[in-house]
Order: sequence, then C-alpha cells, then structure tokens
Amino acid sequence: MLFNSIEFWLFLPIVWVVYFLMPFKTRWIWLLLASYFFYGFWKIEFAGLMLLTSLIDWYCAKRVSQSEIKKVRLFWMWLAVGTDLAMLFMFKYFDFALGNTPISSYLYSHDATAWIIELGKYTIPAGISFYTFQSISYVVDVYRGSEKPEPNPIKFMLFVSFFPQLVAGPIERFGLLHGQLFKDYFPKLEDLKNGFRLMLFGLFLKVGVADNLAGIVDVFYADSAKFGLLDTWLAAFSFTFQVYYDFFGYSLLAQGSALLFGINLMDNFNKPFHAGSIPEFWQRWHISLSTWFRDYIFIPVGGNKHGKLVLSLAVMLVFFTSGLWHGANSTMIYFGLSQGILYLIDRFVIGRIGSENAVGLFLRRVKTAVFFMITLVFFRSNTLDQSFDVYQQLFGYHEKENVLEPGLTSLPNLEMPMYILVFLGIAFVLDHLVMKVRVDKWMGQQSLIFRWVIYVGLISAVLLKGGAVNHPFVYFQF
Amino acid sequence: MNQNKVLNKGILGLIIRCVFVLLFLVGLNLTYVKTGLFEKDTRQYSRVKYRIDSAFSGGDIIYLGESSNTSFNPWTDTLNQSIGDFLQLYLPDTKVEQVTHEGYHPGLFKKMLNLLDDGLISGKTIVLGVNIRTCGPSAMYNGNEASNQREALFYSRRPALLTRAFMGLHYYDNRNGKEMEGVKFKYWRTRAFDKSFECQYPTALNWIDGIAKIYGDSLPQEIKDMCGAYVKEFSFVIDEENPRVQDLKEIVELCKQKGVKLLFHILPPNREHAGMLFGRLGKDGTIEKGNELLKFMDYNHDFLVAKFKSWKVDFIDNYVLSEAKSHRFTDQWYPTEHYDAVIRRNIAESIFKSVAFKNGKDTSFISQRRHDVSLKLKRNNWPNESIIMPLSEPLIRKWHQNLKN
Repeated sequence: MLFNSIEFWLFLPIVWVVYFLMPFKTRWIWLLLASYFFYGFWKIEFAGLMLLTSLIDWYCAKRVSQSEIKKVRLFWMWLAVGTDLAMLFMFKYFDFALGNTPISSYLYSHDATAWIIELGKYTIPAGISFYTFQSISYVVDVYRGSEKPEPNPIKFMLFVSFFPQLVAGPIERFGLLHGQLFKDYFPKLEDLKNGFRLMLFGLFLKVGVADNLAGIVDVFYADSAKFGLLDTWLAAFSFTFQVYYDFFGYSLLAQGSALLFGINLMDNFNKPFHAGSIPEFWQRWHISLSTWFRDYIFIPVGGNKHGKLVLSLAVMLVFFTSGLWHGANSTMIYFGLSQGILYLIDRFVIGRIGSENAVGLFLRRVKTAVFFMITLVFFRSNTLDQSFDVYQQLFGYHEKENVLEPGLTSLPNLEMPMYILVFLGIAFVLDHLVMKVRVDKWMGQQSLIFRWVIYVGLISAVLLKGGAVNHPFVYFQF
Repeated sequence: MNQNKVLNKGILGLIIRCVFVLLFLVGLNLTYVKTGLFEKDTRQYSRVKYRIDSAFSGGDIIYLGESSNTSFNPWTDTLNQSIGDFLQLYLPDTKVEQVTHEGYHPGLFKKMLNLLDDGLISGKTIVLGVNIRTCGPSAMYNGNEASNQREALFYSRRPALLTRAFMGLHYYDNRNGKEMEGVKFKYWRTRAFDKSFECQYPTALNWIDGIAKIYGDSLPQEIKDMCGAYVKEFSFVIDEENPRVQDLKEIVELCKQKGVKLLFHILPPNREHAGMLFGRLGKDGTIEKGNELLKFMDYNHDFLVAKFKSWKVDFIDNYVLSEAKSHRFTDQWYPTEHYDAVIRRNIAESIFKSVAFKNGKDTSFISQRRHDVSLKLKRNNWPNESIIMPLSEPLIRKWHQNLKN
C-alpha cells in the first residue's frame, strides 16, 4: 500500500479509529495486524519474509544477551547479521549477481527455484533494505549492550513492521521507537493537527512536486541522446528535486501518520541544500541511513580516529555500501563511489577554500548542490552507458542525434510547465528559506486565515495538479 | 462542566471545519469544470474520450479498433488508409467514424460505451474488431495497460474533481511494465496446457526450451526468437472465465440495452507464419508433436465463434482471410495484427458487405477479383527511417531446407 494511494487513505482512518477504541493493552496487537496487512497488501509472501527476519533476529539477540562469553555472543550476532544479509542478497542482489549465466537459466527452468529468479527479476520485496537494516541495528545494539533485548517476539515484530516507517524509513533505532509503541497514550488534538499538517505537506511534495518533475525526467531518460545541452541540465536539475521531494514527502507522510498514534519518528531531512560541503550534505540528507552507516560501518572500521588513509578507506566503504544499498546495479555502485570521492575531495581539498562570509557560504552551497546533482545522473540512468552519455551531454561533448520522428519538424525539447515551476518554487522557498522549524510547527504558528489559505492551496494542488504518470516512491525499490 | 464545554467546542470546531472542507471541495469541483480545466485535462490525458462524443454524434457507423486499424507497412504500402477509412470509401452515403487506440481491448471499449447517453448512440452501428490475442496473457498483462487504465478513468460520470484526484493518486490498475512482465512470465512458466491438446510440453516456457533443445544450433537465432514469441502469444486457451470474453459478453448486452447494432469482426492472425514455424505435418498427415500451435489458435477462434453464435450477435469471421499472407503483415518477426493496405482493404470490404447486406444495399460492384499486388521490396521506409523490417519468410524457408538436408 502506498501513502499516495486511495487505499491508504481508507486504511489509515480505520486503523486509527479501531486502535483507540481498543483497550490499551491490546492496541499494539491491532497495530501489528494492521502493519502486516499494510505490507502483505503488495504480496503476502513479502510479509512472510519479514516475519522470518524478525523471528531470527529476535532469537539471535536473545541468545546474545543470555551469554557472557564474547565468542558465543559474536557468533549469534553474526548469525543474525549474516542471515539478514543473505536474505537481502537473495531477494535483491541475486539476479544482478547472476546476470544471464547458465546458473540463472538452470534455476529458472526448475519449478522449485524459478520463483526466486522471478522475484529478483521482476519484484523486490518492498522496503527490504529498510527493515533489514532496522532489525540489524537492534541485534548489534543488544550485542554492544546499549539495548536490552525484547522478551516478547511478537512485540519485537511490531518494531520491525510498524507500518508508517516500514517500507522507506526513517530507519529507527530500537531505543527510540520501541518504547513509544507500547506507551499509554490518549489522542491529543495537537498531535492530530500536526500529523495532518505533516501528511498534507508531504502529499503535496510527493504528488504536486515530485510526480510532476518525474514526468519531465522520464521523457528525457527514455531517449536521452535526442536532447541537447540545456535540456540535459534541466533533466538533471529536475531529477535532483524529484528525488528529494519524493523522499522528503514520503518521510513527512510517515512522520505524520505515526504522529496520529502519538509516535514521533526522527527527521530524515534537514534542509540538505543548505549544506556547504558533501560531508555536511550527508548529515542533512537521509539522516537515518547516514547515521546508521556511521554507527554500524564507519566507526567500527576505524572512522576518523586513525589518520587520513583509514578515514578515506572507511568513507569509500560506506559509500560503496550505500550505493549497493540503493540498488542492485552498477549505476548505483558508481553513484555511491562518486559520492565517496566527492566527499573526500570536499573534506580534504575544496572544503578549506573560500571565505566564511555570506557570498562564500552561498557559493559553497551551490557547489555542493551541483556536485550532488551531477552524481545523481548515475542514480537515474537506465544503464551505465547512458549515464556516461548524459555526462558528455552535460559538458557539451555530445551532439544530439539528428533523427526526426515521423511527423516532427524539429528535435524534441524538454518543457517545464509554469505550474510545476511554481510548485517547486513554493516547496523550496518554504522548506529552505521560510520555515525555521518543522512544517507542522510552522503552520501552527501562522494565523487561522493564513493557515487555511495554505491548507486550501495544498489540497487544490494535490487534487487538481497531481502528476499523471504513476511513480511509486523512489525509495520503495530499495 | 468545563470539560464538557471544551469538548463541545472542540466538536463544534471540527464540524465547522468539515463543512468548510466539503463546501470548498464542491466549489473546487465546480471551478474545475466551469473554467474548462477539466476539458483541458480530458484532452491531454484521455484523447479518446474527447474523440468518442464527436464520433458518436457525427457517425452512423462507428469503427472501434486498436492498432490494427491504422497499421501501415512502410515496406509495401502506398496507401495509408485505415480499415475505417476504406470502409468509408465503400459507404460514401454513410458517415463512418473511427475511434482508434493502440492496445485497446473490449474491457476498455465496454467502459467507453457505458458512458455514452442512450440518445446519442441508439440506432447506430458499432463495428468492433476482435483480436484473438487480446484474450491471451501477453495482451492482458501488457506493460501499457496502466496508461490505458489511466485514460479510462475519464470514462465515468463521477465528479470531475474526483476523476482528476484518482489520476493524481493513481487509483487504477497501475502495475508497471516490470510487474506485468513478471505476471506474464509466471503465467508462461506455470499455466499448464489442457491435456486435450496433446501438447508434449506442459507449459509455454517448456515448449520454448524444447524447441531450442530439439533444433540446437541448426535453428537461427532470429527464428528461435520468433518461435518463442509465437508460443508466448498464441499458446493459451480461452474459456468462459476469460476476462475479455466476459467483456465481450457485456458489450453485447450493453448494445442490446442501448439499441445499438453491434458487429464484431475477428481479425486475422498471421496463421501462415504460425504454420511455417509450428504447423508441419507428419508422415501420417497429422500435425507433428511439438507443432500444435495452430491447434491452439484454431481452438480459440472456434470458441469465440461459438460464443458469438450463442449470444446471437452479428459477426464477421476473417480469421482465415485469403489475402492475409505472411508478407502482408507489417511485423515480420513478431506476431501482431498489423496489416498492409491490401489486408486492411479486404477487411473493410467484408465489413461493408455485412453492413450492406443488413441494410439491403447493392454490393454487386464488388467483383470476386483479388489483387495480388506484387511485392515490391524497396527502401520505402519514409517517414520512419529507423524501421528496417526485412521479410522473415526467406530465412524460415532456408531453415526448413536445412532441416530436410
């Protein structure tokens, strides 16, 4: 079920009403059932996979906590992490790893194994990377002693499956989320208002801004060689804000729907285009994933305490993993590696250049945004060859193909309709320049009339100008 | 007491807000329609919907078709008239209108017809092309179906704002191309053939694998791909539960209700290619094992014909059309119902005969002659230079020759 679907908007109020009608002690069971229904709505098999992950991790964490012997604890931790990664590999990377090899053909030609190939080729269990990472963090935290294990496996299942943040994060830590799921809570009007404000703004960002930009980006990437220099830059620019407002919109919808149940999820974005460098950018973009990588990969492999070489290797490892996490194809690996290289360049070379005044800061922010925008070409391209062609086009080294389609007298151009530009402008100005606090709080600070003008404007934009082509949330595929 | 007051105030505030939102939505809907924005969206996102009203208000005969209506063979065609255009030429005193859309199927035409006012369509004649492949997995799980379903949102009487919101929130069968591919492959991998077909392979994918194993390297890659495509497209069995059959049945009932004359015409598939690839006869004169594709095709045709008869609906059976030679099909390496002008004209002629017969019109000017226009292979690809579609027949014959040797 997608947040921008009619089904979800029917599902949410039903779950909410029943949740608060139920006795406090049984509410979490209802939430668990609702979460599994939400997830199983795509494919029931996916729910089975998540159940398996949850039970294995719960059991391994329990065994970790029961032992005092380091080797035993390590064994159970690695068993959980290994199983999680093996499942992730199986369902997300197996097809990519096998390619069109004879093994792939062999597996596909046998009924017992063909479904694995089919699943990998055509569908990846939605959000498998998100809930797997969330579950791994629990096991590692129990191993480290920073969290106590949950004695009830069914309660742990709710931590993994809580529907607002299940399929695209934020990737929550056990200590922050688990307690909230079981606390005694009576619905507060303020939470309801803030929840709806978050959801309304999130829906506007997704449906009004990102989906409309996606229409432009799709046209370009369907046949990128036919476009010239300016169109290529327009497509790169559009995709940058498509992916940002798509994911930011999703995160706000997740936070809003969780808040209706009195649960606060972490902020996943913090004005990323205010970042003056790539390292700072990653502290502001997809914060829950960045901090996950920091805590579970970067610091354990050495972090910044052992000199520049170790730091550089750790950074490259993190970004390589991040690229791979984003998708099972070579373009994503290049995306990750390019981010790593720019991170190091920014940290060791460019980051020290330029003055600290407003102009210098502005220039650094532009530089960071352009760096990020350029690397996103890897993220969006259908193939590695296409991404290299697009890079040539971006820098004017590529003549657009001089082929006229039947009935056309000139080569195609990308167009950005005025309303998309207006929506993008409103979103960016509000998000980066006007709002000093989160959108729900900011709206609450406005006068009644102005607030309702905003509501009416956002609802109208969503209902009248939502992007026509269906684009699931970009991060769902991860 | 105070708590009650606060609660009452809160509930009142909530009711006021809900009423305001409701009124706002009604006003927004009105504005959306009155300012012409809805019409603009309809033109942009559902060009066929925009076309239907004018077609039905202006036409006596309305030809509803998919791409077969307007297909054009860049190698051989000097005429680019559609089937509907040819029909108009046969019926100069009758207004023939056409509604054509690539990948359309009875399910979508049904929605379209449901929308039309009885007054507008009563007494008119609808000619609907029936493509047998439309009942198969390849068409039913077509990657373009989502965009067709999106267009079909506009074939509705619901408030305009709701239609627009449904489009923005993608409230339709919006499975993307990759998902549809998955569904198709699962069908081809798992759907077992009925034993009555005596096919030596249990499923379509087994069949394709079998072909590769039997012929090995003697099978040119192009022919191998072609065989695979034909198996995928035609090795299915239509039954009562087939959604397209249900749609056709509902169209028949709908037309009866609305007083519309309905005429189905079965489009000819490329039987010649199917026969060359799969229909070889064994020594005893029966089709060799592993070559049963024509059996499937014929069975599906017979099933539809029986259905049409039982529904008492008029239909034209062009399944075996003598002019439908393989070289007259635009797509030479893949089964489609895209024809050159000769086939298109002959289909139009058959429709004309049926319509004229019903209306007591003279058809004697049509002689029994058949033009077998000699095939002039020329580089007549204009306007689309990228189409290069050599005939497949020489390679198939060469393969047959190699097998004999």
